Amino acid sequence: MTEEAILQGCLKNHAAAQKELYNRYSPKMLAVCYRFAHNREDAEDMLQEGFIKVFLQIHTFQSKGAFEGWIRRIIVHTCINHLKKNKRFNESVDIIQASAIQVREENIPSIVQAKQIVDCIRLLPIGYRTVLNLYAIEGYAHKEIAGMLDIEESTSRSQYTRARQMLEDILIKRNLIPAAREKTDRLTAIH
Amino acid sequence: MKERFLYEGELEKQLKEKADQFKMYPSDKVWNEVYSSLHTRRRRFVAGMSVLIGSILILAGSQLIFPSRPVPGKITAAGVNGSKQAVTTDLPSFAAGDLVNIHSANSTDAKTSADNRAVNSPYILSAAPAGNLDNAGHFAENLLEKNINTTHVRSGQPDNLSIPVPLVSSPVDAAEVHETTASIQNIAEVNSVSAELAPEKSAAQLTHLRNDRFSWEIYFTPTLNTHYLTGLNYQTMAQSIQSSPIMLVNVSNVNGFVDNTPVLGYNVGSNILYNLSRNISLKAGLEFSFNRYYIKAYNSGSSQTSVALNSYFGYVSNPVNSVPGAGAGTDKNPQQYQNRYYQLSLPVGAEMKVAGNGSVQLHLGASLQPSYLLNTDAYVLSNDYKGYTKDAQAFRRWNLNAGAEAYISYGVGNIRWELGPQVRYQIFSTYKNSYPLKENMLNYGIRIGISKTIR
Repeated sequence: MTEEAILQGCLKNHAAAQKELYNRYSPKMLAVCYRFAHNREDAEDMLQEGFIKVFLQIHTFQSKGAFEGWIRRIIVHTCINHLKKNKRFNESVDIIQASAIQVREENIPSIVQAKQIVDCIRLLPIGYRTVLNLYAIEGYAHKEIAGMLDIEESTSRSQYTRARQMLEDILIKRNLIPAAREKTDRLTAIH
Repeated sequence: MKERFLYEGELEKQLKEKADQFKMYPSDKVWNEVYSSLHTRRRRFVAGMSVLIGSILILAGSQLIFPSRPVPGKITAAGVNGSKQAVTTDLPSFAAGDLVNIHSANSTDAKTSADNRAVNSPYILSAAPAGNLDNAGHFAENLLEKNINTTHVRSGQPDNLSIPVPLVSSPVDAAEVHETTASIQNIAEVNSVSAELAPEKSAAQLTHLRNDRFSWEIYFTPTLNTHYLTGLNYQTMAQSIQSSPIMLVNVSNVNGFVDNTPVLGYNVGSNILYNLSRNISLKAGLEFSFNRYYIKAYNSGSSQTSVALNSYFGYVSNPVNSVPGAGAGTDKNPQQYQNRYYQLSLPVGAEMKVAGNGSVQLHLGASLQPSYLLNTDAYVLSNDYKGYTKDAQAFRRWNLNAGAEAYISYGVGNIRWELGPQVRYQIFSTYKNSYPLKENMLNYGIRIGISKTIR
């Protein structure tokens, strides 16, 4: 079934087309949710909520952009709204406490590389992780992130800097990036 | 700083690339929730039908537990000085003055009754004689003050009056009774009164007959549910084997690859029956059925599998995610999973009384039941018979069942208790035509019912 046919079917509320769209994009979108969520269950809740929005708002999609990108934006916003309901998340994005956070080595999994990277991201505190996800992977600007999370733009920048630093440490510990290069880069950066 | 910036860009690029490569497969629950949220019309239908069934069952239950009473009529016991003191009973209205100590054919003789202090004939209506107002007044007072018992007389009693006549049992003074009996009319007059009332009897009986044609029935049937899988065997696949994604090693009878155990389910429903004749009645109603059976599967990790679907171009493989922990493999420790089906049916059929005319009767019945699948919690077998998966789209919503039953009924009053075996067969496959496997359900159980004549 072509994307156009799926879109037309979804506009007519046809279950088969909806299922097709869901089958096509849900694995990627669940991975997106999983990077934001605390656990798989939360991720599935986000995905469910997100896809309901997708189907309900599908008439607003204009064929100018990529369909997947449009779905992804809805899913990401759903994740953010889901996280914002959590008090712990609201506290964590406002407080900068990078140095105080210890990453527990035994929590770091060792599986295939893509999953390893995602699991390393998931080891970050929720506030850092959210900003890193939005900036580095989803491509939002700090100004947009500030608007989405109701924080200052400067807070978003500093959160990201610390998140990135922490992630680098984790990746080096897991030998996912070479330590020597990282050190060289840091020295270069300092000088 | 420049190099750092480059490295920073490189890290982000790698992060994005790796993150985008990562995929996760959601559980079936997510799609089911999304689907049910989007198709609220179906949910409303289910809710509406549930309310309808509930209402019918409550109504039927209330009819059985609290039987309706006839509308009370009035009977005037005496007329005094033109004013009427009425004793009301559950009878159609007629003037008591017209009925003076009416005795039924088998009632005791009036003179004999005069010798008794109490007149205790079951079919006597005592009332004041029309021509003796003094006595009548006194008698009426006695009637009221002495708490005269009035009870119904059941219709259909032999030698009864032509209409139900209340029993009046009053310890009337012997003299008064004697005095009264002196003025009573003779038996012939009584008979003539009876004769006058005869048409009313006929009308009442006809009304009864007409009303007796309908009856309510509610029933509950604990059932054992079995199912038969067909399709995808070597014979049926011989022609399309080239286009089939099914593993050749498994092209034999599918029932050999699954281990199914019947489990207890139930049917509950309510019917309205219309008596066409003494022995044959038509019935229609609503039935809710919960069918399930166990499947044995073997623990394995979640994996990609596929469900073959028929199309114009042969079989099309539909990749799905197998359920974690399920798989029709050959592990040593099989797990039991349940396939559950919730159906709503509209049984339409007929019943025949084949033996018995009294309180114990034997009936045979059959019905066709258009059915709607309300919900499922069931696994579908994959192409290679090695895994089960959940796919809500694979199930046929509308189906047709055929039911047959034989039961013995025992009547108490206008209520009959019913007990007997029942068989129900699902005519069309549980799955849609696009799914090559066919599953037909067979349920058998013991039907426990109760029916009540509507009057």
